[in-house]
Amino acid sequence: MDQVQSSNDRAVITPSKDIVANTVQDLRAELFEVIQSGEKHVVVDLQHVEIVDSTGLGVLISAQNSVQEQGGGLTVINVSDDILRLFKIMRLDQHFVVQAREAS
Amino acid sequence: MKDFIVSQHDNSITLAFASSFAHVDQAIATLLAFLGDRGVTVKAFDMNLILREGLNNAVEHGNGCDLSRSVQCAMEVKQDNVHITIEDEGEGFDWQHRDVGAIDARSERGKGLLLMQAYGFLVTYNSKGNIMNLYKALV
Repeated sequence: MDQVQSSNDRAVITPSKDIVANTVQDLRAELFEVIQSGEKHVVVDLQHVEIVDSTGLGVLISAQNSVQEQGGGLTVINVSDDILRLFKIMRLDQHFVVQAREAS
Repeated sequence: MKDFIVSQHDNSITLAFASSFAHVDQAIATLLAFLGDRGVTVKAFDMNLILREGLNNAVEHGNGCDLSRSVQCAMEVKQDNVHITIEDEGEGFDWQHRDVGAIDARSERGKGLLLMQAYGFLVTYNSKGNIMNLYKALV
């Protein structure tokens, strides 16, 4: 079960599993709901996520495109080294704000 | 057919499964375990990601997520590379005239083939376009 917290124009969604084709519908619905409710600043916390496939990348890009139209932006935090490399290869770190996971 | 069939040999493994994304997850776990058991040194994240792209593509675009259509996947470990074949039962596509294009961070689709190339996988197709071959060099 993903966690969704919302306060002061800022929503934080923490997916409980990887963001891949088999599971991405949950995150897509959660993002749609918070963006539809008018949240300008959406944070996706990847602390439990070890892989994002191209379907998952599409959902994050779609969220950024939508929230940007509302004058806000998407921030993705707690990003693993492997996912950070993926975001950089696809230049997504230039499209939304990305924060790496701190070394444990 | 059964929903998920595995046939394993010394240096190769073949899978056949009904076209669902849940089976893609199962296929990837099986294939990564096969490589791990043989001590093949590939980066697990990279192999996971690229297998996922190829298998998702076969399930969704090849077979239209039709559970009555199967995806066949074979993996063979050779001396200097891993060779993966992914076959769907779809109509294929005109890969010869497909433009992989540049990376567009704003575009929500069409990133699978870009990822395969960016992660160092060689990609070829049969003439019909329903069989993809992926080669990853072992270093």
